[in-house]
Amino acid sequence: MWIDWIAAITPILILLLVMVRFHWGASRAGPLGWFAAIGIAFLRFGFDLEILAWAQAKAFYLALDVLLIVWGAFFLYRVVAEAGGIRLLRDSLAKLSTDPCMQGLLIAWAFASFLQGVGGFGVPVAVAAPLLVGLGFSPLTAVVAPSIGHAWAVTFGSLASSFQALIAASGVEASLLAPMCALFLAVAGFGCGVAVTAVIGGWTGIRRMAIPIFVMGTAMGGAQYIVVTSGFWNLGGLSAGLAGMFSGLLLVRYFKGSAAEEQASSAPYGISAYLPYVILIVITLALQFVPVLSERFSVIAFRGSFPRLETARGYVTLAEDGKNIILLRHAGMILFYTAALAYAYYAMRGILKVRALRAIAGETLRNVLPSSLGVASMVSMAVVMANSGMTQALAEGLAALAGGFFPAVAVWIGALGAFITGSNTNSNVIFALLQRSTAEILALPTAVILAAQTSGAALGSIVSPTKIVVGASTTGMRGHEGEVLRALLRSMLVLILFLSLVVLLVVYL
Amino acid sequence: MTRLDEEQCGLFSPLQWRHVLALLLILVPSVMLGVACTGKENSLICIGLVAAGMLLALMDE
Repeated sequence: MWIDWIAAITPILILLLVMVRFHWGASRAGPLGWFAAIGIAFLRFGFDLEILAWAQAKAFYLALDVLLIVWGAFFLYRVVAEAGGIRLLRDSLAKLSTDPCMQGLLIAWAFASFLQGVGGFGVPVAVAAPLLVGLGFSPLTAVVAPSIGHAWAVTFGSLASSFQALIAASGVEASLLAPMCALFLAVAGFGCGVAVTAVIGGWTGIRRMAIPIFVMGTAMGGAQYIVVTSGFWNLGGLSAGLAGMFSGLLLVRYFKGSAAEEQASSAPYGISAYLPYVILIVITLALQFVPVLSERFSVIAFRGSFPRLETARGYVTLAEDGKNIILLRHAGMILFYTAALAYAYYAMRGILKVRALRAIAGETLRNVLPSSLGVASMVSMAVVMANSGMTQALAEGLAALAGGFFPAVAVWIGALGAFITGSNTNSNVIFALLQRSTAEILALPTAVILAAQTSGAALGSIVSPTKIVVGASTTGMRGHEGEVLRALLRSMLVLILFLSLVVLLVVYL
Repeated sequence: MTRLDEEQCGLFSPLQWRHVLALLLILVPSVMLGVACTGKENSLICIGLVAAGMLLALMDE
């Protein structure tokens, strides 16, 4: 058994080695992991060409489901950013208070969470860190605070692409997963708020900001819980970010600092900067609740159908239908519709030039290419591992090792996956099935363990190498990434330990 | 008005073109495997193409 376990964990260790030790990106490390998984699957687990072919076909459907959202989310973000919307939001928040802790909560926690809700992919750190430097924060604090602050919002951010990956890879329904995920992430959200304040103002800051942390944390976690448990999980991160900013804006008058000035925003576009997010919510609700639209937009749908597969060693994967992808109603397509309508509006108002579309599309393509390769290759690797019995072997080994403490270990596995692959989404793709199998072996509640997986992965993404590089490069800390990593590791480890204890309490109390 | 100017609207860099090719080599044969490739030879060709895409991505600098 242990030889199988060591063989099964080897592709993951290879990923870890090349990404951490040799600083490879996911787009390069993923293919190496795929080759390693295939080699080991053939040599040790009785894999054959037919199973590999079906595994790759399954991987396509899983990857497409996630990639549509990744592409759409970044495209929408670029349209809004080009129109000055992100700058408007940023400037408005910066002028509200001179108290560094309150500024930190507004920008590094609430605003960064909002950016994660609408964009993700390192955007919260890239936008918030230079702003904090501009407000007088040290470059190290400016990178560290938003890196921690937005982490809790990662799973339901980016139109919930990580949650989508969790559903797709685990095969568990969204309605079962959403409540526990929202609960753990809300708890993690409070932790992130406390950690941001601790980084900026230490213990004194935490005591002084106890009320804003409680109110904003409750607003964000509560809004996310209500939205995702109502079935609109792709709007969870966005709603949480909006709730955080509104509650923060209501509170800021009591925490203005010494000499905050009331200033009008310099951006000339006013409320139109917020329009894309209103459009997004309206389209999502319309396609959900208006039967005529829902029917019309369901005409293009495809679903893979896969046969029963059995390896030479007798590991069986049952026949299954893949996820039904309804293309025109897919969350990724909704993002594209929103971006197109927002662009048309901005062009009519003269805010964006017509030729800007080409630049926005080019920038989007350039930015999503490496992450798309990372998703495609890592999804392929994960499916090979699942269909060859490697994931099962890993799960059995982990169950034997962790025993009753597995609920806590599940959080660390999620975090490890995010650290290895640089994303919550990829961690879910790689480990969701493993976590589910282990939970079933140990007779633990599957939804709780999968929620622990994605919550741990969200917190683990704090130390995602790509985010650290982005943050360091936008604050003049290029070459000092190790310093940033050390600072982030401390906060991340405390947060994950805290979440592990919460998961244990939920399972055993 | 916009941050991006005309110069940035151009073609991909050689590295990005390799990324495009690698992604196509991974995704297109994968969908073929799901809908059309039933024989051993076809499967082998499709898997070979996917492996070529993975190799191309792996060779990035």
